[in-house]
Amino acid sequence: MLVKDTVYAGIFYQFLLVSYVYKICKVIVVKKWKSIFWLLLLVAALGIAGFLFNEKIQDVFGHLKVKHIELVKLPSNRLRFEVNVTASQTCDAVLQYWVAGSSDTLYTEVSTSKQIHKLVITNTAAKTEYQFRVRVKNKRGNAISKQYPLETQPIYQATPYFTLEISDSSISGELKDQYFITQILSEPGSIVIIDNKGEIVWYEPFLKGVKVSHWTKDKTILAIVGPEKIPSSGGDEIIEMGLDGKIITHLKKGEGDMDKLVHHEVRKDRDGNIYALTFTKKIADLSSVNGLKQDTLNGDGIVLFNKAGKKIWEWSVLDHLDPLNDPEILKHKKDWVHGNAVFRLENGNFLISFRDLNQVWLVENNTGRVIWKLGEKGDFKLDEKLIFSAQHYIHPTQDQHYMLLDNGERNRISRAMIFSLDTNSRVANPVNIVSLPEEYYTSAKGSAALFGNRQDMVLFCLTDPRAFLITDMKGKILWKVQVGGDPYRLEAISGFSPKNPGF
Amino acid sequence: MKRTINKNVFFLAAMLSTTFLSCEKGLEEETFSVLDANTLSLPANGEQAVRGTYAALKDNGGYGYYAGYLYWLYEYPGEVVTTRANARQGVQLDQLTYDANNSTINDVWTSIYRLVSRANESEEIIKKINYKENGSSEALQKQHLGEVRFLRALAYFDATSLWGSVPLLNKPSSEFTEADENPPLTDQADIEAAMIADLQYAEANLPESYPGSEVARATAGAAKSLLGRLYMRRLEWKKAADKLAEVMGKGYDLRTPAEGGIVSLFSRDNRSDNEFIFVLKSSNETSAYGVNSNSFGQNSTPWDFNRGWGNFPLHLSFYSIFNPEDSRRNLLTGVYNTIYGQVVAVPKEYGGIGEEADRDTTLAIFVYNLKYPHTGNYNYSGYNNVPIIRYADVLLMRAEALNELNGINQESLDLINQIRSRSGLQNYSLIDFSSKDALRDAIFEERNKEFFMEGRRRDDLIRWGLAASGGSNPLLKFKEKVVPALKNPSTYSDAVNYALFPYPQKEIQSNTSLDPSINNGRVK
Repeated sequence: MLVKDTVYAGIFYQFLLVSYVYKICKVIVVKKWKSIFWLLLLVAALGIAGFLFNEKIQDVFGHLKVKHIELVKLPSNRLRFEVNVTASQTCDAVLQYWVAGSSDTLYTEVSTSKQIHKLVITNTAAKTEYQFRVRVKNKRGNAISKQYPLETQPIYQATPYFTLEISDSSISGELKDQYFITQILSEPGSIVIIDNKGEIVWYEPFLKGVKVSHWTKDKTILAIVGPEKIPSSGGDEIIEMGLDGKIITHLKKGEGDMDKLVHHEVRKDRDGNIYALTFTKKIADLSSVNGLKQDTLNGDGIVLFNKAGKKIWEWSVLDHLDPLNDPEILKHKKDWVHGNAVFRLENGNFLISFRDLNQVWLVENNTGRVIWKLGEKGDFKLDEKLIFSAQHYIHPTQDQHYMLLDNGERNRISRAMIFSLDTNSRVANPVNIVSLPEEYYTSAKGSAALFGNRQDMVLFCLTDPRAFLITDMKGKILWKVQVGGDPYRLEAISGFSPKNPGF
Repeated sequence: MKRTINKNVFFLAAMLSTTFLSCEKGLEEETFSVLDANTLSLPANGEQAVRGTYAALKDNGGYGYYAGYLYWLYEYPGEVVTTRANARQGVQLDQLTYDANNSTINDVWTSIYRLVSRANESEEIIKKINYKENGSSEALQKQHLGEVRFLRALAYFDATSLWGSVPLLNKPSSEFTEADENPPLTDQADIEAAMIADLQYAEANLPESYPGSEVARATAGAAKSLLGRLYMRRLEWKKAADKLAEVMGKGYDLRTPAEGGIVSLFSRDNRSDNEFIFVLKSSNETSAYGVNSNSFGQNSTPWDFNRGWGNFPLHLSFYSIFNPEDSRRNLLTGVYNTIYGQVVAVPKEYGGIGEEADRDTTLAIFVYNLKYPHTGNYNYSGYNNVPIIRYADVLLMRAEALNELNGINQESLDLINQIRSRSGLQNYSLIDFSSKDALRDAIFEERNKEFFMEGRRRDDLIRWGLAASGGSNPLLKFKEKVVPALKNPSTYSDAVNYALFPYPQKEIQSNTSLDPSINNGRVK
């Protein structure tokens, strides 16, 4: 504001002086000699004015320029850097950076219509030398700054190691510019983004563990954060943050509408609402099976928050199961059925996975009614060989089929399964089954999703063998990253690295 | 004509003014600056780094490192201190059934390397700060460096006492190479060389004392004492005797009987006694629990005494070795009134008063130490000093070193007698000892009575064995003393070197340079 005012004042002053000169010139013939004195005085005044306002005048009327660049290194994160850019005029700005000696250029997001910009470098590897420069553009032209060095420090806090073990040349094209998001569950935890070599290029550390993380369509990250002592991938905070580190939403248990712990899953629906699995409780009469007259059942639910953090919908599995149907309810009542994944479909209904039932349910949004159950003892005819167990990560594919990771508790073989459901005849048909070798069996956690431009590969996260895999549809391993800790989930992400904006 | 002049004047004025304007081109150069908030540049930052390093002595408070777990490793395996039956990790240490998964072993390992890491980072920060140009002095910079190097040496002292060879990592993370992230074991001798370098720097650059408000900081005397303790462990008697002599006459002394003697040394009102050379200080504020407290007050005494948790019971046989005149015995619960109104007394066969105490006397099964008094208000925030080095240790170490060098000698006896007479015992004289071995045994028995529950027993048993076997058998005395105290003596295995703890399983799993075979001979 101050800068602008000074500029306008300068212009106004110059204008006054020039018009005054003109008036004097009109009378100069009459009072020739006297006016020389005035002329000199005028020149001096103009000079002083120029001295004071020259820079601003040049800024306003001259070429667009980058005037100052400030690189900010903050101790909280060793891979994220703010760069404050002051240009001579209002303009758009972007920062280009590249590993010294490399021709692959990376870009920040474009900052628009400002004179002072804050650009954030969000895609760097540790212990690497980079070069960067700033490009600015407005209607009157564009400009490039000089090049400056940026050396990243080693990261050792809250980060495990990822080691690339296999990378088949056949998918190098597909892997180009591909990034993946995962998380560190233990304390201190971390949200981590790795590149196709397993190199960490972005992270956000937390004192608590990060139980699950998810890349949203808005290029933000959603995560459940909680202390290790909360079991079942549970947490007491939901955090949505940008790559620039800015917290967009922060829900904490006990504050606002978040009255329950959440676990295993947090996502955004089509409208930007946030949904998650919750722990729910219900009092039930278990006296007929030697329990208490008022016994407590612990189960799972779904909660939906709008963008403002207001709870707008809630659902509990305990309203849809009869505890007396479970002969071992006293044993199971502390964590009954164990929900571990939820996905809201385009039509608003929810898919939810229950590990201990070996079932996936479709829940109607409006009524809360269970539309169908897929899996063991479910509503669909399912070949014995297709019965999944302790499954995770139920989600729809682009073709509107249903995909999950079958952990395979029954025969200790984990596999990715895609079903097409015939809801009329109630038959579940396998579209694809990708079985992994025995050594990749994971008893718990994990994920499987289609991968690649043609969606003809599978991306696995396998917790027990501590491996990330990409396989073809026959299960041939094309890419493998070994993980130093227990991963929960891996997602391939798009839009992590902004494209060249072309200026 | 008039118009022409008008025009000319106008252009002249404009040209002149642009000349002025163009002089200012220098201002328009593109400029670049780096704001690195990682860079700590003031002496105050150096002070913060030093304090942060001291804080690592209690790790995260509660039970961390010197606030608790370290002394579990030093005391439980010995024959004096035992455990409550239901404290599994402690029982494993006490009964020598521990393995690489013992969480206390892992905890102490982690704490030690956390202190090393903080010291390394602090050293780098302090080195980079220009103290002189920022209103301070080079002497303070050297003091700060001396303090963090002393603390690092202390951490490695513990690491090498517990595990022998361990990774040596004396550089800040900014200088880490790929290999440093999975550091291999370094030979114990090389680690000790680094410790000696640190301690020599510390003794040369630390002050002899501090103002009252900074009394817990490391002094030159602390560095010399620790160096002396290291030379003792290395059986370098001459170096040890000389180094320890340098601590004498520097303002430290024994708390005299007139001041209340040994019992009052451990009073909570006596936290800055000049017998303490280096201690862990803690705070009594309620909020200090888990941050700035230690666990000894809460754990030393039993519930019926003052609502303690009784996690350090001492065998009754230990009570029986004291002369009734020995005032150090008053630091044990020989007889006490319980909070429920009963009387608990040590049985007569162990030197107590037994049933004479009261009609309804309950005979004690264990005794408990009173070195970490605790007010019975169920306050977790123990603020007792946790002694790390005190002057009595310096005197007894020098007495021992001189005996090893010269055999029975008057100076050794004079040093021991200072300790004995302070506790109300008869002086020793030359005729009391027939050999160097006999005097050595007497010194270790004296040390046992002087330093119980002060974290010295394990090192002492090992050094005693080494000295008595001419350096060949670190377990000679350990086995002799510990086996009779085991619930099942056959637990003891000659195939296990109890002088070295197993490396924590978690470390082996996360450090690719380590292989499970490194624990061969360290666990059953």
